[in-house]
Amino acid sequence: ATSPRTGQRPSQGRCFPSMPGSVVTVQLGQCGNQVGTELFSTLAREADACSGSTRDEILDAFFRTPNARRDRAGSSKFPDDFPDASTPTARAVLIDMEPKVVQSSVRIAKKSGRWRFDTARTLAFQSGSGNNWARGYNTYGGQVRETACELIRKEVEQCDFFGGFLLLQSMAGGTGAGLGAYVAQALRDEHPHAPLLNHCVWPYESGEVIVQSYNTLLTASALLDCSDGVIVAQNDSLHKTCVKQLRLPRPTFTDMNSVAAKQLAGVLLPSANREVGENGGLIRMGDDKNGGGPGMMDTKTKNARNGRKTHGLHDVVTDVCCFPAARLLSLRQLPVLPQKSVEFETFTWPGLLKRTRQMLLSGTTLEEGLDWGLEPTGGSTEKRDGKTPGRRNGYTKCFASSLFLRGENSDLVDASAVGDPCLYPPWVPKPCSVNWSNSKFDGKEMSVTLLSNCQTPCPPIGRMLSRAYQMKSAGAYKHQYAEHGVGDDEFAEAFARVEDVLATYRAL
Amino acid sequence: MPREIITVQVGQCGNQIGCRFWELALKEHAAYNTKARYDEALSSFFQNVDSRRDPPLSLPVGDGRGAIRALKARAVVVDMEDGVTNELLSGHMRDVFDTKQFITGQQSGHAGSGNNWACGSGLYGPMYREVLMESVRRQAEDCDSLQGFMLLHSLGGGTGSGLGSYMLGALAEEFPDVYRFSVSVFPSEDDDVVTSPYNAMLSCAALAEHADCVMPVENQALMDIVGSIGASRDRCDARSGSALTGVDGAVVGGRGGRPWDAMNGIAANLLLNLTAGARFDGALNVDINEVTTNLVPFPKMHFLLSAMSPATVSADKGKTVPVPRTMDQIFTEVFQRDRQLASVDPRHSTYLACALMMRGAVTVSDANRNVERLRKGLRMAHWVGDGFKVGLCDRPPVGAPYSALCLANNCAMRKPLDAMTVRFQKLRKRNLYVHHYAEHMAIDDMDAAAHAIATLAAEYGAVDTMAAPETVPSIQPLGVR
Repeated sequence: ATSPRTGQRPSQGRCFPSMPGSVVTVQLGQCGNQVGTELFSTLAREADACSGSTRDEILDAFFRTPNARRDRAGSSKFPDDFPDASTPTARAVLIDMEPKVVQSSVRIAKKSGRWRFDTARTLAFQSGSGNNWARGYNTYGGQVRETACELIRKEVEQCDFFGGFLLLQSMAGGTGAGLGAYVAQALRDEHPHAPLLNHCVWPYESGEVIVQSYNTLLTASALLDCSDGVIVAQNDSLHKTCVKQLRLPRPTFTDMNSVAAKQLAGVLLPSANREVGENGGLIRMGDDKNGGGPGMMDTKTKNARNGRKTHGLHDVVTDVCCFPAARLLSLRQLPVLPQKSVEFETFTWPGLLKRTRQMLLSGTTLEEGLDWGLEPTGGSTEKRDGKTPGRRNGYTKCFASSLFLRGENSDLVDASAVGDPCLYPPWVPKPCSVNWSNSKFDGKEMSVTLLSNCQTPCPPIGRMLSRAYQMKSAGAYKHQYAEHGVGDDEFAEAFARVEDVLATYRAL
Repeated sequence: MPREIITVQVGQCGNQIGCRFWELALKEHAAYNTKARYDEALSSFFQNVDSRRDPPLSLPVGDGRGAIRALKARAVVVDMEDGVTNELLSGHMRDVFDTKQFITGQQSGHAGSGNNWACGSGLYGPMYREVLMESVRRQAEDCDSLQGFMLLHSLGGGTGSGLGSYMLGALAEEFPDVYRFSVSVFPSEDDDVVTSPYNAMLSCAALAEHADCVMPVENQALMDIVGSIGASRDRCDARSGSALTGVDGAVVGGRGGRPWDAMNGIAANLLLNLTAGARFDGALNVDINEVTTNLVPFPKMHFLLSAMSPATVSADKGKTVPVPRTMDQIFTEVFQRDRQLASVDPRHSTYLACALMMRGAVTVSDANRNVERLRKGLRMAHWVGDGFKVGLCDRPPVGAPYSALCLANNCAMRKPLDAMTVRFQKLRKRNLYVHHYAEHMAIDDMDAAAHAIATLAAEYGAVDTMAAPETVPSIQPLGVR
């Protein structure tokens, strides 16, 4: 089914060369830049923990090492913040409307010694957006467009194989949200065939910014229109993860960003796609003529089936966003535990996958407090009650999902717990795609990351909508937004679009 | 890349607060900037002037590691009589100012505004407009990216109120995109200036019209706060060297120190804490324009109630502050009646918006935990829901491990506005002193101002009791296609 409004996305249905592409990251606003710094730290750390071709893959996808390929004679031209000839430089463009965060991000990268941000790819202005979405979008968008697109284009040109854009931003502020939405639309215009994935931080429901319902509404509406996939990372969930699982009583934004960055890295690091049976599990031996015991594959089949590499962002979004009106994604990752406990815990793949399944059903992104009694009922053709907030029989429905298994024997794991067709609507052809990599992630023997297109973001979106309606009917802050070109019409359009998307999810 | 704030201090009270502010600002920066480098934080309030050249050259921040040559305040100092400004020029702060920044009526032989708003605004305003705006323009040219103007004045007199209001209008005209903030001292009930009701009313109308954000401060409230500090100090052991001191070493509370210093110090601290988020790094930076966006839901309703904790006057580094406070305690204090800088009780009125600007080792979890705890005791407007604006700055103020500043848009602001109207009408009904004002302005303007303020107070009152509507219009989706 295609939505008549949004139509076909050009990036879907295109063939890409079978090489994982390089990802260009655009970090917008304070939150986007802070998350981006954590993300690149995580990626650099993972690269250092691997060796050989895996390391090169990671570095090639997210970093560039300029001097390694260039003539040494040219290095005298470079300014003296090129410390070491082979320090990987992140493929990132840093944008903010005030200078402090961009500068501190560059500083933090340099201090690590392992990687750096290119100061030529930063764009920082003076004035700040004042938490006003309209100002970030209308007033600054136009001013900034040319310079920003120029910087991004330069970064893209430095990729041998360009794999897509990753935009990091928050939804509640002025720059990340407003200017971020503008930049996303500008990138869609200039690079219509490139995959565009947004990682958006959803604010604390207790409020970080008073006008956050307006800003979140307007951002969601703009992104759901032009982006290929919108990952919603909720501050409340990240906070609870830090408190309950990492045992940090007073998490800071850095702690939360590190959790979010690890979840994102779990998806973005190189992996190989695996053929799955109908139930998402291993191909049973009855399906092919080669011998072998139940549940085992011989080497030849293994190689044949497990060769296809996951193509960076293109595969990530096409596997999970099958329906143009449904592009809301959530991330789950386990195990998450304090660094010092890692040695003392043992895990099994079946155990991890069962927990992942239950996390998906419960709609949480937390490992604790899972309701093990929740089970999907067979089939999804039951009577629809349009008023329920997206939970029939209490469990969270899912359009499609992508599993990323990292660790030993991840290629042989039976993923039917998560690939179970009961969890997905029957008309989705391949609801669960399984990707694996034998490299360890984050020093853990085995780790599971799940990127799902499911109803998890629906309750917060519903709450945000009702608050936005209330504020709008009281007329609060109207003049601030109208001053910068967002009036009643624009609000109505945004409300309509988000309501539409919400209805799509609730109808599952 | 700096983002500068130009301070415009007008009138006797404005200049006294200003003097305290510059002292405290220098102390704060000295405490953090131990290598005497001209960095961005300094550049928001100070220029780095190389006076070996002629004309003196203002040095840019560059990479933030240049040495300090001579710091000059980014300020315009205005007064129509020269008592306070002379003190500034001859006191220990004289090196921070340049005579070109001073505009005093003394130059033309005038002696004060006679506590007459119309004189300040209608006579001196136009007379000195060019000179004043030229001085502001010169300051603005030395700025890379001007963030805002900070107006310091009182409303009860003639110069601060009248000329201050005039300047606000002129700034709005010439620099429409630059934010205009003001810290305005509202006259108290028993103000000794007889015409203060007229002056206050007329200024208030100008503030409602031209300012982006006003932080009213009442003398009575400041006196109460200073008194409570003195009382708590008396209760502690009097250890030598641990006394609560004012900035210049004088003891607070009138014992050997100037009593106004402490009060002005509190108002000056307000400014420092307000701008800390823009000057220093933090996990959640808050710029001045964010304050406006979040705290002003309806046009003209931009009178913000402020409260700070701990309320001690900034002590020198190394001297102990007698009463320790746990972090949760400072959150609780900023919502208490006796910490507000205006004499109103916010707990009995509706909060339209609230911002908490924290400094020091406060994490977002601490902020959220306390906001949840305290929100139950506050009456918030129905459409705000759970909205609180939180700012986190890494640098604590000098002498304390952390501090909180609460800026609230609360309907309790109605009370000072109503009181102002009552006092105004008492005089106006009998046409007392009106002839003084008629010399330089139209009397209709007086009544228009009174009407505007009364309307504003009524608006506050209406929002205070606004009930949540039964149903809120929402868009129904047509269904999945």
